[in-house]
Amino acid sequence: MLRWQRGDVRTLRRLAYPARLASIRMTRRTPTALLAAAGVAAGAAMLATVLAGTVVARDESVGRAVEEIPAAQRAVRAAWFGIPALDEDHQGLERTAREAIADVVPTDPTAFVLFRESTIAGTFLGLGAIDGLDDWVTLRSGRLPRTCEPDRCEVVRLRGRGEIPNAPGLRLVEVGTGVVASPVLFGDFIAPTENEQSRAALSPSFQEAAVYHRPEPPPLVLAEGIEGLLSSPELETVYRSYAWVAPLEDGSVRAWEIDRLAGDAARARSQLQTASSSFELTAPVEELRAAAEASDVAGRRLLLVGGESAALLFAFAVLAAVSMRRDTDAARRRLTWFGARRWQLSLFTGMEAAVIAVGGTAAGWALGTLAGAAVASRAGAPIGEVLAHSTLSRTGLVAALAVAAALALVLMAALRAKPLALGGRSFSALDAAALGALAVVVLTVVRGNLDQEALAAESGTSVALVLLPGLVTFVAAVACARILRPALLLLERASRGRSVSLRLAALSLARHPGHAAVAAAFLLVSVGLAVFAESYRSTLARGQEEQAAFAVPLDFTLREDLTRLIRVREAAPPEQLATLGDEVQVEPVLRLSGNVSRTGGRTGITVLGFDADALPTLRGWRDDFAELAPEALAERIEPAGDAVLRGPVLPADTTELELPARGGTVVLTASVETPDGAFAQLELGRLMGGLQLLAAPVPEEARGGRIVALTVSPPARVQERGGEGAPRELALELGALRARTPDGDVPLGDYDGWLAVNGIEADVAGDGATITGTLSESVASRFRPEQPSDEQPLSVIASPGVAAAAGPEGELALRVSGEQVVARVAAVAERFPGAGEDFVVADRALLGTALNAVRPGIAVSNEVWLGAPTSQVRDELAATLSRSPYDVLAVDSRAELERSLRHDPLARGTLLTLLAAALVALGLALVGVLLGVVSDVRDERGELDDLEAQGARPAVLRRVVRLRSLVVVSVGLLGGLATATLLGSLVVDLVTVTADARATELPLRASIAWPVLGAALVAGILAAAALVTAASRRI
Amino acid sequence: MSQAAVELRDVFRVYPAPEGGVVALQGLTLEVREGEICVVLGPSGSGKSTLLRLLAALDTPTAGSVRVLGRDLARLGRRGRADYRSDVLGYADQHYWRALAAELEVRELVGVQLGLAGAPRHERLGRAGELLERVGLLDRAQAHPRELSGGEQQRVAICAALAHRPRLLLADEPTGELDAANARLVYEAIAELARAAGTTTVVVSHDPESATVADRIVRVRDGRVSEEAALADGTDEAIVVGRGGWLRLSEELLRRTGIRSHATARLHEDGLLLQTVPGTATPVVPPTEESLPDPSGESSVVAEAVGLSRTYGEGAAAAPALVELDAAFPGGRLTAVTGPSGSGKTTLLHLLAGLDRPSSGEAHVLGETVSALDRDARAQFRAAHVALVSQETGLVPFLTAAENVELALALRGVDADEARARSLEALAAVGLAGTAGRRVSDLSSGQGERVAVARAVAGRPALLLADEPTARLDQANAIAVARLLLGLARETGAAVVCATHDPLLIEHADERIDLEARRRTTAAPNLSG
Repeated sequence: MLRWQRGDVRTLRRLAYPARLASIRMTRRTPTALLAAAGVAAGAAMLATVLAGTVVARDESVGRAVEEIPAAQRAVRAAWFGIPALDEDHQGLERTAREAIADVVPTDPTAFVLFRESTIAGTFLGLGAIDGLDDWVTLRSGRLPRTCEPDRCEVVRLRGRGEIPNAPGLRLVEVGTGVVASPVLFGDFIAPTENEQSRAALSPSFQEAAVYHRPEPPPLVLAEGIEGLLSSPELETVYRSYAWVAPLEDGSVRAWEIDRLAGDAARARSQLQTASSSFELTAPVEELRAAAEASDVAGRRLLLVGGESAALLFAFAVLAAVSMRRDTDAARRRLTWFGARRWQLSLFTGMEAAVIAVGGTAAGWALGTLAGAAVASRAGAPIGEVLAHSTLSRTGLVAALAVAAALALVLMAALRAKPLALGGRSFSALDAAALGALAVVVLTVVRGNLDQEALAAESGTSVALVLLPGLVTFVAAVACARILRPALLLLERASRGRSVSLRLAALSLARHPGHAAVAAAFLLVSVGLAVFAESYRSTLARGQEEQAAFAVPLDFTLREDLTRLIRVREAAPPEQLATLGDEVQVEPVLRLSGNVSRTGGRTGITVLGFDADALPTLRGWRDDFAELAPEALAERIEPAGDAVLRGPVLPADTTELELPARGGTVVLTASVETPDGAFAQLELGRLMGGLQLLAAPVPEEARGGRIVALTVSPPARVQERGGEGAPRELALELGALRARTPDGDVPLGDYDGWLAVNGIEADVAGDGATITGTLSESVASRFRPEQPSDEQPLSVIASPGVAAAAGPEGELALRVSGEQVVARVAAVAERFPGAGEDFVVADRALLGTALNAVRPGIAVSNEVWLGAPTSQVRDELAATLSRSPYDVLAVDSRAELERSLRHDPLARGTLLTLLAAALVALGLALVGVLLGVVSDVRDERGELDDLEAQGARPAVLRRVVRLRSLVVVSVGLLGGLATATLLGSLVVDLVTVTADARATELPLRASIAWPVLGAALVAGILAAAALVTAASRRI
Repeated sequence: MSQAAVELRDVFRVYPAPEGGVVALQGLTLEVREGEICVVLGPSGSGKSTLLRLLAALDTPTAGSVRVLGRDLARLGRRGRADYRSDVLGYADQHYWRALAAELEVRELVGVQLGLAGAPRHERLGRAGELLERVGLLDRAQAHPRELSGGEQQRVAICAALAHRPRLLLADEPTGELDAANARLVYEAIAELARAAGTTTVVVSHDPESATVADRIVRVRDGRVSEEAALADGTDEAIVVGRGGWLRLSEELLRRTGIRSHATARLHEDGLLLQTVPGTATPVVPPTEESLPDPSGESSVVAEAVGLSRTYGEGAAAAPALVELDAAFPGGRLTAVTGPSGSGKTTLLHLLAGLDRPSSGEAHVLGETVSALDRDARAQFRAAHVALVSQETGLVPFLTAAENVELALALRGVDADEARARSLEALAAVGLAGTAGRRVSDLSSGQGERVAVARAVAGRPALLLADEPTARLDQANAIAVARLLLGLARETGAAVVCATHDPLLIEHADERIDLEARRRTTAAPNLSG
């Protein structure tokens, strides 16, 4: 037994000794190993920083989402409704509620009681009490209540002018007036005391209507102290609401707490309802989950960077192993002579690899953790918790260990593998691995888009995103190495007869193609990933600009604010817009919703009309939107001739419009296009059968306008009775239209060139016309002048989906507001700024003419696009638009939208991470260049000495090394650029998510910020040149 | 008489090569008795390294058997070979620094093999102390290798090879890179340690000094044992009789006896008399004399060493490689620079070529003080006037022989057409006219050596320096190269200086400079003074 134990100890010593030797070796010498460990550390630091940075970005995103939750819902709220039973005293309920809320959020809740619009002591009012009233009410007059006892309870009035109870047992004393400082506390319990409708005073007509529909509410008063109010015997049997509200403030919910919060809220709700069925607990769990989902999407997308960092790490490990190989081989040979067993050699090599991999990864992880802490600190996130949920979490530490283990294996394999022999006809394991990687890439591409939904659902997208950069660069690296050897041989042949330095460099490369291939492949990987990271960053950044410009095609868009219901032309009529200055481009826009009435037609398409000439000035236009340039598209839709409605013009001093008529029982209405482009409907009156002179007063705004149609319709009474009743035969005689002016009647001309449409026919004779036909209640019959749109269909630019519904001649039956116009697809565009997925775009004048010809008044400009030529004008314009009268409109600013997108925490985090990844990759590329030159000079010492012995000057030798490096760097650089382009287009096509992790309405387009990239590459090349020059000086 | 510890019987080792295989050993038979110190002498390329690799079980013979202490090495499995290397074998390399991991202290270095075998620390350090004390290095036990002189490092390497008490010690040129004094110390260390432990020792060397510690000397040539002498028995050097009665006579004996293609053998008293068959004899005069022009009387001096010294390292680690050498190298002459390994032959060539600079003294070539020029000027001077054939040829393997020569000429500024003509001419001169278009990687090492010589010759230098140019060549090719160099000297008036161990080359030389003798001469006054 003892003998066995001794043997066992000896075996342990034999195990430990090679490991000890390796650790001594690694700690006491080998600058190459240090460089290798430094590279590993840089990559690991990048990974750790990405991990921590992702958590910070997610947390910021959740914080922002919390801010965006409507204040009334931004709280965890326990509420109890009813009339308390004997065993349901407030203290008991409060204890239960507070315990339940404490399990969900750490915030101490505020309690209140509210008797909502109830009759209390004979008075109809709203009455409530809060513990700590002064935090929630802003005083307007008087003072805040201090005490509340049944015999004297001070209250503050929030609204209403009625009486408040002053009865025994509930004597309310008003001591001031105020408003609710924040809707957080009461939420939906009481209507806000101030709202947007109050601000609508700017529009008197609207204010009038609003007041009409908003009767004076009963008084609402609040007291200080719940228990005092509840002690009133008058309230014992009154239905009330108790609530305990814990507001979710900035930082009170962290990204990593949402699942827990949702679970805790569910448990708390259950706990409360067990205590009393009248309890309810609400929390904005769904909103938070949506925010978490968006941040998850962003986090998953950053796996690209994680994958990139990992790919870089492993590529660097291979390069480092190749650089260390000679030294390690010598050590292994030495140990072999000393009788080391194979397993001891493996242990020795493994230990060396492990020291570098584990040491480098540990150092890098620590650095990344520090960087993560700095990022968290800068973002104001709790450092400890961020780290505990990222680099120092169990998952994070396991990931670090896995990276270290994988790196050690890669290093060990590369240290022990046979020297790289690529370029022959044989099919190596590396080739097989590259083919496998290519297959995975193809499968990933075939599988389809990794859009927001897919990323949110995960479903394997994480793996795809992690692997994609590595696999693509691996395939590219193997392909590069594969073709490098024959290329180097060709270079060697081409160098014959050239300068001695070039020839020697070519020979040197051709002599050791394996080293050159590994160095070039690493550069390909590092430069490729650096350029990819930067180009993806610039793609996302450009996407933000394009997204903003797509939403706001010029600099500003003015549209109706749906919470205020004030139309653009009311707040900002053309003469008002004219005051903005000559420099400002003003484009009235007609935006309608329509559909295409054909089989397979589309519904809900955007019908957009604006001046065709303005199309080339749209900031949001992208050349991939359509095959044709904007100028050519404008030509396709611009009016060929007259594009205004035709019809007799009313004199400017017209007071009344007259029409002699005879015929059946009908109502005649004249449609007048006013001089400012609006429409007025003048009801001329009801025809009772005999000859009548129908007349209608002409409002001031319609004077000088143009009569564009006479509408013949059944009387309203008939409509009401008949509904969709039987059609009525019509025989109507019309005399000439006349305008009554202070100077007498002015004839408005005959009906020559007028058309009768929608079931009626007209016979024009002399000054008058006879109209016959059938009146239908479902279609408005009109007698009107022939309009330009009657002569040719409306030319439109259509989206592919809409264009597909067109007939063989490109004709579309376009229905807008129940009316149909015929359009012709003049061009197809994939997208159009300001329009949705399906759209038709036409010249505004033509579109308006066509639609208003069919039904006057349905097409009036309802949006204005404003463009500023300079940033200064834009800023001034922004200031102007923030003031009256524009502030009642919805004003969208392209710059503001862009700024908002840029400041999105997820977008900012993503862009910063990509930039950092690019810099680390570029830095590693430089380390790789240095390693390559140092190991070249070391490994080729014999050849260089021989050349010097042959008479080659040291300058020639240095030039040889530099030329060699130049070739390797050039191959790596070009390969890297090609790889980055391929990877970039793959990722942009696959990952259809914007910088802020939202679904892309506008597809991203691969973009490279050439000035940034060029500057980075030039700096990198200069740094590489400096490193090569410095390293080659050792020759 | 003790048992044979090492037995090699009719060992062949053929390495595959494009031209059909390179024979490293051809029928080598050797016995070394247990506890004996056997020194194997022979030029580079004679098969010594292959012999050591076979004895270390790092290689297996193509034919024949190799037995060490009863083990048939060819039959050992992977594990058996590892056990053998671990338990039985100790190895000391010529490049001793390869055995010395720079990061370890001397006492740790000595104990590496024990450590790998699982010995505890106290045992390792105890044994290291014991051995270091024996070689006088106990006070340096905590030093790192870089703090030791070359001789000290080699003694540490010997200690490391013997720490685990191996039964067989293999030493490959253990003093190859040491000066004579250090070499002597190392040999003494080997002898003392090996004898103390009764370790059977095989020392492979160029250096005749190694014979001072040998029980037996064996000479190897062309992959066979050609002569041997058991010094302990006081016997003369003996010619080895191979299986079947084959005798291997050295080229030197053949030339001196005039035996060419046929000889007669008859019993003579108690021996055998070998005589040339009439009509087949070779004249006894040196072959150079008959076919080459005489040296043209008083030739001008092309290169000259004046008080040339070179010391590597500093302080305690300083190792003088060359000490105050005065020598002249006339044009039209072949000068052989001889001396044991470490005597400064290569250093001298490098100083004359301007690849190194002397610690003191001057090197003149064509009247130019090369040692005073800067590195760039020295390179230019070399391109114009000097050619060097190194031991490592530096040929580009995937270029043809002609392209390699042309490349070297391009470095010298020769235009392409002339380079082509000169390369073919030079290759023809070394007997490689037919292989000018073949890739160097397809040539044998001997052919490669000749390409390297052709590359130097083609430059038509005023001074041609060659470092062991015949080391990898068999006797016939060695003679051919010697004649080529001599011819070059005669025809171009160049000074040809060869650092060599090879008697054949030495015999062709017009002059010989024995650096070891010069060093002794230089040192003597100092010693007496």
